[in-house]
Amino acid sequence: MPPPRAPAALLAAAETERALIADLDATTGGAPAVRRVIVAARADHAAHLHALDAILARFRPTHPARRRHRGTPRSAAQLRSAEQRAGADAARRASEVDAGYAALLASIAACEATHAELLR
Amino acid sequence: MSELDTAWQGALAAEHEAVFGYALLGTHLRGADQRLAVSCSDAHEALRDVTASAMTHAGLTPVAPQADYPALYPVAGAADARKLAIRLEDGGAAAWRYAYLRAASAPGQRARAVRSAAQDALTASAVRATRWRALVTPSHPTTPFPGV
Repeated sequence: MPPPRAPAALLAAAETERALIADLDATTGGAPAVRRVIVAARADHAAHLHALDAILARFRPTHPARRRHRGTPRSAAQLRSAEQRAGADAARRASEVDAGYAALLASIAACEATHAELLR
Repeated sequence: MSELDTAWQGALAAEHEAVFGYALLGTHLRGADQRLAVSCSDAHEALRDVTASAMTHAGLTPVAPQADYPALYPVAGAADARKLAIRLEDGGAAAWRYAYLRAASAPGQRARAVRSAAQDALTASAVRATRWRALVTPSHPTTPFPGV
């Protein structure tokens, strides 16, 4: 019996993390304080993506293949907005999945809020 | 008592501990650090009261605070105080994340209400912990999975 399809909310959460990482990687300038936040946030997003990919591996592989994100350099304000949006999206997506996955997305939502806080 | 109610009470107990802990650590801080401690303490007091009120409306008896929290001692100075603040916030985040998990596993209106409150409280604790970590470990101000 083939594994079930991956929940759309988890696939979307992983795509969000990839997009955030791509934008952080493309953002090479900025003040030292912002650079420190970018490094910390990038490490957190990589951990989120790793956790989500580990869960998604239990499900049927998705087609078409993952989108390749071309990152865009962002200002600190733009990064902050993106983190706020990502946090709100993760909290909303948490309501669409089973409890264990929901708690993971709830933690990710909280983490994105800490990035937005540091980018104020 | 259901697992959800037990977890919810655990979150309230964490708020009681945070209120006690901030009173303990606040006397060791000055200036901006003290203002941060006061704002965090105010937030925990407000959340404690809202949570206790919601429990009463739900027909539960809110857990009472302990007379003392020996595990929070000693606080020898400002550095200890900042570290204790991080501990309190991490404890709150863990308690609310567990409440979230139990609420997400349960049906009904109460579960939906607890779930929403738990997400807000988990996020708020994570943000406060980050404000303290930015002072204690500026190169590592965040954790990837608050509450875990």
